[in-house]
Amino acid sequence: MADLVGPRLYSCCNCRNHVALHDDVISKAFQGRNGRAFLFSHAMNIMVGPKQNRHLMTGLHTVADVYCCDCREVLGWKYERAYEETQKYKEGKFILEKSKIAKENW
Amino acid sequence: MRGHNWINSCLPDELIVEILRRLDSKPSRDACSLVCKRWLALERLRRTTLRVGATGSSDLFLNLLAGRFSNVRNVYIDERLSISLPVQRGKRGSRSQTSVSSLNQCAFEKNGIEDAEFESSHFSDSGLIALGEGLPKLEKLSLIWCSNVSSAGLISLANKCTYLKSLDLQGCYVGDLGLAAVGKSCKQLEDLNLRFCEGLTDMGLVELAISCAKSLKSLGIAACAKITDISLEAVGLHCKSLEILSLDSEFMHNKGVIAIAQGCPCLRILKLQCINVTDEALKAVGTSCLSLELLALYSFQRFTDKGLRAIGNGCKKLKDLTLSDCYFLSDNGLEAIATGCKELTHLEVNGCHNIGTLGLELIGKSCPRLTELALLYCQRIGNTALHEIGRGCKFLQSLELVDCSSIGDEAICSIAEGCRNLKKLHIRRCYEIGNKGIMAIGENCKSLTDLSLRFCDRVGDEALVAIGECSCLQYLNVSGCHQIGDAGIIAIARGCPELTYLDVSVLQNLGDMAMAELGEGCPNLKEIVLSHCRQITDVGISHLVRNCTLLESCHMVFCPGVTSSAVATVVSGCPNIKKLLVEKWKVSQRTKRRAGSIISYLCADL
Repeated sequence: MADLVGPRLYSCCNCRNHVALHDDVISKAFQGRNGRAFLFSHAMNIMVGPKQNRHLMTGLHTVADVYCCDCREVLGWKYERAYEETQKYKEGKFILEKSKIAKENW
Repeated sequence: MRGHNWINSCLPDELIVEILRRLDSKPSRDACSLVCKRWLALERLRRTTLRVGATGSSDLFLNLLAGRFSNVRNVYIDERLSISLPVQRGKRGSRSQTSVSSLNQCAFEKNGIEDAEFESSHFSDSGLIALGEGLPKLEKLSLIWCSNVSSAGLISLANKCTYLKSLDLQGCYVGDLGLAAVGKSCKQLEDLNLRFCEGLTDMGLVELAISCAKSLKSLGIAACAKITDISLEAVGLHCKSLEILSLDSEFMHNKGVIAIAQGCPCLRILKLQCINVTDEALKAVGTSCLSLELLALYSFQRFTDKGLRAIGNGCKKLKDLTLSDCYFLSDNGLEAIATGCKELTHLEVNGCHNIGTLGLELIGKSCPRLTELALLYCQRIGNTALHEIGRGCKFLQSLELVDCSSIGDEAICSIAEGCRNLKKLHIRRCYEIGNKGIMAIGENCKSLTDLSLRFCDRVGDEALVAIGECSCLQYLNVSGCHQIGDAGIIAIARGCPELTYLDVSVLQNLGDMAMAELGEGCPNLKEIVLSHCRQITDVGISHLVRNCTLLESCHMVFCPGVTSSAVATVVSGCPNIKKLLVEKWKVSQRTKRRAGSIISYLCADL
């Protein structure tokens, strides 16, 4: 009958690497480079690149690009620092772009 | 005599049950259930396990289940399971309704209630009561995310099911009264697992520990905020037969773990993920738990080499050690284990960044019985470690390496030459390993059944040609090894007729030729993953499916050359197909009608 039940996962669109849990979605209303993006509290099987300062729609942030650890595809970025109080909640969290991830198995 | 039913008139029930018991597949057993009413009843009596989803399991449904399958001993009610019931007889007009909603509609109509909402039939206390009444010989109960269950239901079930041996509660709001009742009534309880049980406090668990003191053998507590050291002290005081303990909680400290270590001398298996537990606890374990066979230490704990030394000194029977994300452990700790625990058979080192080559070298020199070794995210472990493992551990059967960037071909050659009994080799993202190492494996390890080389971009066709000599190979995963093309897979197809699982996803150079050869050479293939293969087309798939009729699972998402025609071919050509993962727009209406339930859609449109 059913396979072993597992958590709902998102995987990299380029290879089948599991990069995030649906349980870790904080918001689906973010804007990435090329369209909509999700904010996750955790991401896995990813590499974090060097830190850079960027002016995003919500102000100045220090971010680091996030890559799939298998195929090295850029999937989004991680918020390292936010310079405005209202944006501090994003620190340590991950943006994964909708176009770069797919629902795995659900 | 023509037409006379010999089987049913000559064979007694017990013999028919014995014959049905030897059928090894569910479709066969289901087919036998359809032969006649007697066989249906006997097959139902033979069932010992039931797994149902929590949503849609109304009391009526559970009553029915308990009545029909009266010999069931193990029940799993899991909110994450989806319900897929056969079409109900007699309701030919309502093709769009599922059987459960029509069943509930019947129930509601009988009671005069008009609203037949699907959502309102959720597993609850009355369902649990019905289960207890219908299955008094229940031995194992597992309730996972059954949010409508409370103490009342559990008390009633406990009173009826006094033979209960195993209870697993995850994400249920059961309270102390329920757990205490289980303790009072179920004197044979051996196994208790609690996860995310926010309603339970020390009071309930202490009462159960006292009541089931003689029988409790296994205890698991995870993410239960109100269960603290007090419970552990009670367990340590009363449950002298405890053998298995698994803790995942920030609310437990040394006090509790030490109490169990000192109080439960039979402890064999210990798993700890408790950020507030330190070396003191491990020292107590090393002093008192001399029968310990398995120890697993997980993330972010503050254990240092001192703790491991205590284990190495005391737990001489240790067979299985897992060290995961234990940042403070170094080669010295591993040395203590190597010299002290000579019986070690399983070792996993995962993300312990301060453990280097030296510790592993010592393991290789001192633990000759090692059969399984896993090194994950160990950047500092180098080739010499595996040289020693290859020299010393002749019985090694399984080796797993993930993200070990310092390990290269020489190391794999050493393993290949030294560990000829190797059955399983999993390598992922080890960029220094290439053709040379894998060729050595192919030449020396003829018992290899399970090989996985993922994203090792220096491995190419030559390596697979050598692996083609391992005729026992059943499981192969070469996802992301970009240099592999048709030649390599063709070699596998020709040399490994026992292949049942193949994953060639993300390979850009693999085409239809290889698929055709696979169809010819590997008729036992059950699962195949072709996702992200740009060059595979409908032609290749039809060749594959022609002979691989045992196929049960096929993933082919992100394959631009695959169209709805291939989907239809797989569905019609493989009678055993259980799972087909493909893009939604590639499934024609006709295919959807024929095989709707086995097709999973890729959802890239979030």
